[in-house]
Amino acid sequence: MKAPTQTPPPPPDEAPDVPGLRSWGGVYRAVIILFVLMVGLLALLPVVFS
Amino acid sequence: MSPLDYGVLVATMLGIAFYGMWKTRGQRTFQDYVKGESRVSWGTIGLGVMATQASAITFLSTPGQGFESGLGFVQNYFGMPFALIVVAALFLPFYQRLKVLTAYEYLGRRFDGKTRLLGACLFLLQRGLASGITIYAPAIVLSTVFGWNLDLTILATGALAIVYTVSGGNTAVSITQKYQMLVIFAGMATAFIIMLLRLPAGVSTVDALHIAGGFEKLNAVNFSFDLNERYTLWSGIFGGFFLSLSYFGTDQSQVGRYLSGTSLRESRLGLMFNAVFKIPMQAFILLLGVLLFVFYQFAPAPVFFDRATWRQHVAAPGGEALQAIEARYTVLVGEKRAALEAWMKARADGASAAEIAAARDVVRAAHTRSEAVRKEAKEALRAADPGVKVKDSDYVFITFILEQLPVGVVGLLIAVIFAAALSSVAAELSALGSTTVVDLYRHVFRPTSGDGHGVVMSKVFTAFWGLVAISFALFARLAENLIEAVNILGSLFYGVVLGLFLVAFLLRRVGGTAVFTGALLSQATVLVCYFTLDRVGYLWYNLIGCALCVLTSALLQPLIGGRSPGRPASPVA
Repeated sequence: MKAPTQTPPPPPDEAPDVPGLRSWGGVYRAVIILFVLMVGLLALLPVVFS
Repeated sequence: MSPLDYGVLVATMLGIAFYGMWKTRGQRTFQDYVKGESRVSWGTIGLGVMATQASAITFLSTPGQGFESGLGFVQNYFGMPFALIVVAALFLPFYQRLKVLTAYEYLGRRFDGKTRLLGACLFLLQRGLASGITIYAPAIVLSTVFGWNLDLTILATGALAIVYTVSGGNTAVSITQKYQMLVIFAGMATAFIIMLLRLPAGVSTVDALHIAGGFEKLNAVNFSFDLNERYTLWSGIFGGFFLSLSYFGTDQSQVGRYLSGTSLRESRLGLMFNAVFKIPMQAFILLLGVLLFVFYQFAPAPVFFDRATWRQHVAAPGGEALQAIEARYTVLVGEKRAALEAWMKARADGASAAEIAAARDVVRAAHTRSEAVRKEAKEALRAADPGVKVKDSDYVFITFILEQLPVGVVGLLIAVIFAAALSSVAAELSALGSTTVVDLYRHVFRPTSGDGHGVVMSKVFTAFWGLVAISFALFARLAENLIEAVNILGSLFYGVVLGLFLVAFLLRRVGGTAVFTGALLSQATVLVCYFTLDRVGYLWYNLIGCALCVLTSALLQPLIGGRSPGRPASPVA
């Protein structure tokens, strides 16, 4: 008997397998931390080069 | 430009376009054509999202912005990472789960057909006109500088974008954008390195940064709460957030980019790529402009950077007055350079902080005098010809490209500008064609049409929007302020469109009739406010339109009643 056609399951929604970034919440937090670091770095530019 | 430069330019542009067409030659299904073959990885999505947003004028104007005002403009992008996180976390799962082809199809599933049509029409109206400006803006600068025929430049850019977008659909756009971005990165990095090498002997990169800092060009972050300040950390985060949320979350030219991903993971990573790298990229382009400013403190700087226009007016009757201003400017530039060298010497000799500060103040005073003459030159130009555009910052980078870069690299940098124009226009045309077919033609007129017919009609409508964009670009030169008009038009409609989507995602009790009525009332209110209130800057209408749409929809729902018969609102089955 022919097996019933099955719809393949959707690809899993996995975050990158990097320590600290194993969930999407971790990825979003990392992006916000990088943003804060970037703003801090930009804010320091006129202090360092004056 | 030399023949070698033309060779580099033509080979780069045609090579990328034909590669995109060749790679998509076997494409047959409507889904593949409109959405892509769903094989696109996060890197391609990330570059595609970046390429769609960065138009040619980004690479012409942003260095000029850095030259004039320093790094402060980067704050405009501060809301973007937060908006991209909201799009990735909230919007994307809804789109992916329902497997929609366009963002407006989701509105139809969540609410009803009329709300879907409203969202699609607002997008088509706004983006259809904006795509003309995407072609026109670089064409006007390049045709002025090179003496090219403006109409031919517009036609060549538009025609090339139409050919490969019509041929390969969304996949061709994704493939070509990847290589166009590589050309852009290579060109900008080359220009940056050559500029640093062209600084005078004895002036290092660190010295150049100190000079820029002395002129307050490195003040990137303004913590002021003053609403009259144009760029601040707060206006960037809050204003930029709503603008970016609307653009990345609801504009099909962007939604189409990340819906082509293999999975939710790839699409999300593509968006996060932009959340991380967009601000450094803009800061880099602005820094290029800041270092151009330093470069022109040592190199002979023109009094007016649109040299073709300046020469034309100097040669005209009464041009002697302009020549006299130019001669005075040359003297002042020489004085400023001498003061600058004295300042550098004081720093190198280890003079006291007070002596260094005094030397720096002499440079600043000399700069103020030379800038006053530059302003005088612009006023004299305007007096001679009231129709002339006196803002010359768009011409700063192109002047550097033409006068300082070696043969071959000039062609690469002009290719950067065309690559940026094509990558934006192609994404816009693909989105306009898809939306017209998916949300208007198939939804209203031919719901039962097959795959083949859908592909043919998508090609027809993509070409149609390409012709609209070219026509609008050709017409744009008759009214210079059309560029601002299109920006205003976008701000007047974007807010309400974002409101429609936020109601769809967040207010699950609100149905189609309430949100449709609320959106129409909000749009009418925004238009009435715009035409009656002078004091509200047009960017604020993004926020006002969105807030009004959400509020009126929520208030109207209990009065109107009824729920959308569409699919469940939750992204989770």
